[in-house]
Amino acid sequence: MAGPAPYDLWYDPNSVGGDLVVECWISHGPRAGNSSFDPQPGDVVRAGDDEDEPLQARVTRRETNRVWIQLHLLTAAESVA
Amino acid sequence: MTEPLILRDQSLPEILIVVRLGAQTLRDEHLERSAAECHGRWGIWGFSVLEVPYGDYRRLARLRPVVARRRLLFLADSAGVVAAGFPLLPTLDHPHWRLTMSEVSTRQFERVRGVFQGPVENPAWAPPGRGIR
Repeated sequence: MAGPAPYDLWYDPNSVGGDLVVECWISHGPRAGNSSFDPQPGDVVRAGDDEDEPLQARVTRRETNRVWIQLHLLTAAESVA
Repeated sequence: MTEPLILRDQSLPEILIVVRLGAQTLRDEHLERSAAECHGRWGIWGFSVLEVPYGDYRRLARLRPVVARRRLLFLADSAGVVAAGFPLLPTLDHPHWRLTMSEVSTRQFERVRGVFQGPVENPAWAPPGRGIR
């Protein structure tokens, strides 16, 4: 059985706020070694936790390695369905 | 640079169920990443847990919509968590708490896993497209 789809940023679902905003670290995600990965506020990324299907999210803030994103609670697959 | 740790004016209730979302969420690598992010932000080792207000999981899911997306979760009672040597701090907004650890190590992770039960079915789980029940 295939695992969850690839994603850009790892997030801890327990740290997601009521506004669906969560802080992520680029260095903790699968794009850690990718110097061309440069998310900026307004960009749409895929966020995953190695368990559930990745979610689309919008970058709201960036401080070097730290990125704040707002999750969209539909999976990427659902949002194009 | 770390931020000041601002605590809510809330003491630990006598009975408090806390949950940690997901079936993989207590694995070493997940705890290590969460603890590192906590340390980077506030200078303390710990990770997020959520209070189940009045034992009502649907209320929790209304406060934290992401809760409804996780079918499985781990749960612990606050007394057991604190008795095992892991203080709980009322961080961010309700119902968020932070379980704190003295250090990050596989031994500590093993100990902290011992205070949780599960994974169990999340009573507030709503399959995608179903909304919060």
